[in-house]
Amino acid sequence: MFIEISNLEKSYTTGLVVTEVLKGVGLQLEKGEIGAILGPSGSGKSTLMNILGGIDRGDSGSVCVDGVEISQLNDDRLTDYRREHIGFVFQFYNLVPNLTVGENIEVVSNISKLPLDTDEVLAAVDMQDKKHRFPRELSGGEQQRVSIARAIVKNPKLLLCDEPTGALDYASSRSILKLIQQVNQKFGTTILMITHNTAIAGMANRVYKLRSGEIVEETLNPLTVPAERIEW
Amino acid sequence: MVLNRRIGRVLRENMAQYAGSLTLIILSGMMFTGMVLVGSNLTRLGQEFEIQNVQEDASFTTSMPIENLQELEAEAGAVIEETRTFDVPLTGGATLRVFSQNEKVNLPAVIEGRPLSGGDILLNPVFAEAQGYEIGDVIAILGRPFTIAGTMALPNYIYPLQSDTELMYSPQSFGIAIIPQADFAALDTGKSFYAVKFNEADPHPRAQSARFRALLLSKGIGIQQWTDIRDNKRVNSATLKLNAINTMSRVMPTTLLLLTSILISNVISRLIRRESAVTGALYALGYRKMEIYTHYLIFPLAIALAGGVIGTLLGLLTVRPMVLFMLTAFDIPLTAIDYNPGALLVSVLLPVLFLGLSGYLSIRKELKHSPVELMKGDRDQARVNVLERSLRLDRFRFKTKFQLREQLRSLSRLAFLLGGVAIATMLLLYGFTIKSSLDTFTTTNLTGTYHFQFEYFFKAPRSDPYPPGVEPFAADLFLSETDENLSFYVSGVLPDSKLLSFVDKSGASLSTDQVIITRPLAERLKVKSGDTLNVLRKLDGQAFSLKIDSLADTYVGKYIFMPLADYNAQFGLPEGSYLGLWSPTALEIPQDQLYWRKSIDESIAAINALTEPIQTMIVMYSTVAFFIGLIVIYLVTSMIIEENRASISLLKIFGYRKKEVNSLVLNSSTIVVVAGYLLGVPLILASIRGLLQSLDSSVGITLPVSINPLYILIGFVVVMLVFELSKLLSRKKVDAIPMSEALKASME
Repeated sequence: MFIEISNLEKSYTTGLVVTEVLKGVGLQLEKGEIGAILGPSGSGKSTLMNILGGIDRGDSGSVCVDGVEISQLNDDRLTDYRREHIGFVFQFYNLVPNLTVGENIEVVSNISKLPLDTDEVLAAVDMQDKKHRFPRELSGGEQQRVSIARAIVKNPKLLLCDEPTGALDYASSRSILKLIQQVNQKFGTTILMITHNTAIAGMANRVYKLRSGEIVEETLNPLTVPAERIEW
Repeated sequence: MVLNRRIGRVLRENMAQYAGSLTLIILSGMMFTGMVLVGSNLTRLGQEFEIQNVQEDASFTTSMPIENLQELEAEAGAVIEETRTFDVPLTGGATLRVFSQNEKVNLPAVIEGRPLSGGDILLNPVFAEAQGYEIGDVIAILGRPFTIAGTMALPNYIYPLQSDTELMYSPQSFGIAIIPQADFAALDTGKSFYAVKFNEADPHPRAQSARFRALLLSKGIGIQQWTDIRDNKRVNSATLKLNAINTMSRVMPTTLLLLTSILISNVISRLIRRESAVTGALYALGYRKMEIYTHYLIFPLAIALAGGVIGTLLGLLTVRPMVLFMLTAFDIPLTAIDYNPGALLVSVLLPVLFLGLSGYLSIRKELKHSPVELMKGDRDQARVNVLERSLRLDRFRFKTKFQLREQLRSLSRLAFLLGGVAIATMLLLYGFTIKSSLDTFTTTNLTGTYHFQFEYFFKAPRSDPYPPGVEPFAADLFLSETDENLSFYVSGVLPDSKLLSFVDKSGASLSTDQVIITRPLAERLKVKSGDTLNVLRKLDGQAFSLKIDSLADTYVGKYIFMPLADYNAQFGLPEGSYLGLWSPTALEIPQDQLYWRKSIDESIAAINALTEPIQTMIVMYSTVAFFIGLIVIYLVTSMIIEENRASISLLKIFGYRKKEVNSLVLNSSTIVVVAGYLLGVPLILASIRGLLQSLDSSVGITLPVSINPLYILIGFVVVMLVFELSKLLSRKKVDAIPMSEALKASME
């Protein structure tokens, strides 16, 4: 398995209140697959993704990515893990507002060992003519395309997408989902998406439903649906 | 209002910015109060001394004693007093000039100790201190013991130069003293001069002097030597220095306080804008505009008022010690310190005005938006200014692009950093520039021009042979026909002088067989080679014309040099005569034949002695500059960090290492800090040049303004160290930004 999570637990303490966010979560994903984590707000989706992305740490359990037990990595190694292997796509794009589209992509390619060519990546997301624009001059869908371009420029092993269509309208959302699927097919990138849109699950090979910090359903989907055919 | 409970909390949350702003206002308020009051007090003390102690309008010597002074006084409408004086060598090698105590004009002011009584002597304080004399000590004057009753100042010897050809006072070699008239008479020695004080001040003092001289001549009283008070270097060099201090102490700190207030206004505006989400929420909850104004204006007003008051109080504490310190250079009694309420008010109110106004304008701008727009947060975040938009940085490395964009993100922040570093640089290099200019003056100009060690000036023309290696010269004081306040020496020298060397602007050597004018005089009179200059001999007002052949690029003083034979012919001296000798070694010439004896080394030593207080000034200014630089850079760095929390967090998520994040964010200001420094260097040179030019109305020397490249390097190292220190202090802040910040943020 490319991703193997078992018995992952995580809780937060605020004052005297302890909130258990993840209660023994287990999850697997093969290399090159698309995974989807479905769940309502507060179910622990983002925490799970943060731990998988090396931004946060679990309290106990195992998180193994491509044979590396990331829960055992120290801060520096965890930084290297994010730097070399993980691509992030955020719900609100998180582009740096005072950098142009091209420069936003360079934020990542600048620290990658073998980055893809910026123009090539921009062409892949159909944004080559917007290279010198600033984020403010783009629509939400275009900004998310840039965000995807930025994530894939390092050719990551794992692309983590946190509600990638959460801030977009229907048409833009479908176009972004199509792009994510294309990235998976063209670059062979393993992708894990979190969403509360159940319709998106149709394009994923594996779907995990999370509720109150527990996996309540795991579905294998041998016949994925092309993104353009997804409707909600 | 319950809302005001958050004021303390907000201040604590933004501790760096508010504390930095407060400290900056305190520092500039302290400098403003301190320096303005020091300058105004020194000027006032000087003026009061001149009036209260009846400073002469002129002094003169006559060919014979004036028989009936009272009659002359009545006729001239003046008070006239005869003063007797002689010079006496002391055992340590110093010369003491002893005066009889005056009762009508040039009254001595006792600075410390008791008034004179029989057998007492009063010394000028700087000399007493330099020579280690204490009150109660006994000095033998011509074999008679005198008890030191205290220290005093004479209004005609405020800057007690031994001769009026000297540049700097040296208390190691010269001092003045007064003794009672009866004791002076008992010593049965000395010569007389008269001091005159006119009862009515004439708007044309030179004409008044001329009328008085004519009156003396009409009574058959020949004048041997005449010095108007405005030409008395022992007074006007002090007055000019005091004016310089006063001007400097107004211009520098006022500029600093003004700039600081403007700079901090910028910081306060940004802090208020960062609060826009809260402002929007309050607005949405039904708070009235006035209530919101009241709440947010407390922040700038509290900072301005607290900084202004603390700075002013600290500044007040520095006034007395600073005045006392400055008075070590001049003999002026410290009667009382005047704490000018106007200056204190400006020191407190200027920051209040600027910060209050900028705070008000920022809030007003915020409140033009709807509550919904305000609650969305910082609307400026995504805005791209014209400069950012027009820049194409494709050819640069990513790091350079990121840093350039970061600096151009906010032009006001950029201006704050650039201006702050330039101010700090100017303060830092202020003392260094003055020291460097003095160094250049002594090393390059004095020793580069004069190749003799001693100058002897005789009381009467001579024509006897002089030793080999020694050169004769003649000199007299002249006035410009166009500017009677400007006096200068015209000197006759050997046409093939080996003891003088001049170069022109291009560095080519100038022979002394021509009429040469020095650069400060040429600049002042606006003459160039080939021009004819009309001059008046100071003693008798006779007019002469001199055709200037060349301009010497030297700052030794305001002089015209011409061949001695031509000098004698033009000014009516006997052929082959001379008035002085320049010699590389000391000559045995009886003192009674000489007006003065000067040593170049002593002049240089005196200049070097003058630079000693400058070292203190350099340390003081550098310390203030260090803190201003540190605060400005730290404030800007903090602003950059605060305004880029989401980006910094994002960089961490993408796998940037701490060092890389720090380098990208904190080093982004390097180019602006360097630019600020480079801007500060010409600015300080230009301001000091401008200041000296504005003060050069009749001072004997004009300083060549320059700065040693070593000092520029030292200044640069200091500024970069300050920058590094500020980065070090900011590093923790960058490290503390969690990655979750970006996950929460909706940057676009």
